[in-house]
Amino acid sequence: MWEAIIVTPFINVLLFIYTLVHNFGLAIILFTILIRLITHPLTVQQFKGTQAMQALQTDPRWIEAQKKYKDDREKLAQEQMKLYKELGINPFGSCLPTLIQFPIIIALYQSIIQTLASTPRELLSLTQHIYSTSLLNVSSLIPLNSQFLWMNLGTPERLTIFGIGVPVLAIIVVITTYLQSKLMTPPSTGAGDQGAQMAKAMNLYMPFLMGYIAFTLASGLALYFVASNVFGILQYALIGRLNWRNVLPSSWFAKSSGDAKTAVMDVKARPAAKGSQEKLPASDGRSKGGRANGKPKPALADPKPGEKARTRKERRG
Amino acid sequence: MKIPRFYFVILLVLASLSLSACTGAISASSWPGLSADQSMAYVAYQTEVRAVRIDNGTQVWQYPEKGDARKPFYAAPTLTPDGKQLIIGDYDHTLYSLNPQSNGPVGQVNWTFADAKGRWIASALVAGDTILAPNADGNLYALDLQGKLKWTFSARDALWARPALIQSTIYLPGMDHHLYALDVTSGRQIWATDLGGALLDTPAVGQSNMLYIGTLGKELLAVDAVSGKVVWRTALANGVWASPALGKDGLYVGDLSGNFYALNPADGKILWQNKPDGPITATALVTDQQVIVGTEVGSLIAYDPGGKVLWNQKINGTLYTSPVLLGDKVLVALNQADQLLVAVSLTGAQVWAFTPPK
Repeated sequence: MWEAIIVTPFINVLLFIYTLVHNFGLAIILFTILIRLITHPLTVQQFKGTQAMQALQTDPRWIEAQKKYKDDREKLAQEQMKLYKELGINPFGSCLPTLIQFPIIIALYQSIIQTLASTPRELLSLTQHIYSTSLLNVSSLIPLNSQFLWMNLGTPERLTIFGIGVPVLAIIVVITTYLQSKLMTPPSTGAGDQGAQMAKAMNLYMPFLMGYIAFTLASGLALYFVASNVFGILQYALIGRLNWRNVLPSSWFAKSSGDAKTAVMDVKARPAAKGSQEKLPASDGRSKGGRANGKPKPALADPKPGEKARTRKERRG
Repeated sequence: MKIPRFYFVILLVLASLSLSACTGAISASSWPGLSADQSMAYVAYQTEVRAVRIDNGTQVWQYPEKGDARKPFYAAPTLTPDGKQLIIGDYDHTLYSLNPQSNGPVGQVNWTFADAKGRWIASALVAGDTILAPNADGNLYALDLQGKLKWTFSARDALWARPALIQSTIYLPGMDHHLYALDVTSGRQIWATDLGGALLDTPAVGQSNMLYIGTLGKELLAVDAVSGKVVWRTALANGVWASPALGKDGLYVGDLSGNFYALNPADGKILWQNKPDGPITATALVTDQQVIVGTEVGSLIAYDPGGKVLWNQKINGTLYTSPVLLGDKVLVALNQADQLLVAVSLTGAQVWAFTPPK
């Protein structure tokens, strides 16, 4: 069922692209971009959901409710639902698109592995998955040209430099995964921000996990990881939400910025950002809910020592 | 509220496991390679090569003692004519010569050859004092019986099939659609013919220097071994993986749609065809009275020369490996089954089964 509905069509589209470009590396890159484009609305929706949840974290009413009902989880949950309703937040807005995308990513992964067909079982499986159409001619398709730049896409990649096999692509996977996760992580809303802590840990471990997979498995997959990471960064740049603060030194922002626009490199124009309060790492939620009735929003509870220092520095800047 | 890092580690381990599962890296990437002499069957599957007695199905030795998941074996082992060496390659680029004899350190390594850069998917051919070993890196390696490299021949793509031999010429099928004729002593190319589809198994050698071979391009072809010219080509319903089998009444071959054909070797005309219950990747076994073929779904079917089904034995497992005739028994190697080998009589009754020790 899974194979017939998702993996097989993926394999055939991938092969069709291959017939057009006659280069499997290029076919993987184009196919990754195609899938990313098709799922772009989901990415945007996921982003909006994340932003809305981020906004809730800084909403004074939510902070107040957390304090008020810290010993009554049921009441806190009711209050949370009420706020969801008021702010028009769909609680599944950020995770549902991710859940929908997850099987697509897995299928993409499987289709690339099956199409590479570097063993008899994989080739047999591939022959059973190719549609009998005039668009795909099995006899001319197999064997696929799995050579791309210095790599054989069916085997783990090593570039021999001075007699040493260097896993260049795995290193690029680590770097791009790190960059992607850092650039896409929204600014922390404070020490109690559970999501931020989780993101921080994931940002640390994920690049190495992906790098390890790229190091040990077929380089076609590593190429897919790189293409997916780079295009993911571009997608977020198009949406206008790359968080450069996470990868560039904060002094760069202190020197180069005099207003809140650089706190998050946001392409979209934001409403009036004057005064010191907006110079804090901001999110949509903060700019919307940061001032209630024209009054500054209350400071977030217990920032970490490092965050305190950064906040002071930013205020000075 | 702080989340312990421990949970992240658990989460990442689970993520790694699920990603590994997606790649299929743990499951078998091929099917058993099987060969036999008069007393012993040799089967290469996953992490071990095993020698099993053909009279009662008991294991005599295995190599290595403790299997290494990074070094799986799937190619059919090849015995040298003197019976003193068993040549087998693994998926980690190493070709081994093992001692198969019972009067020495059985199952031990005589020598290894580790210059290849690809998997050993094809089994080797021994021609006189030369071992001809095709590798997935696209090279055919010619070694002497001590494992020293004599010459190499580079094809345009991977080599997955054992060559055929006629006198001093070898016929090497390539994934690159070409059938190459090479001089066995020097590796010099005599001719190369593009047959229009990937070649995955050994050509069958017929009378009057005729070679018969199927392609993934849905054709069965007859090629003149001297000139390399295609004598006839017959379109089939799907691609052909296995070598055709030549009998006195016809040429037998199965395709990946599960059609089984009998053709006239002289002109390629289809004499009869039948569609059993699954794709066919194994070469048929031809005896005096029967043509026996295995299907992917585990059916072993015997036809008479006219195409009438004589018996159909369902075996618990999938069947991709070509059956081997051992006197009055047929030996089959299985995938996805507890039993690795099953011997059946020429009426389809099971004689013994071999389950590898855990």
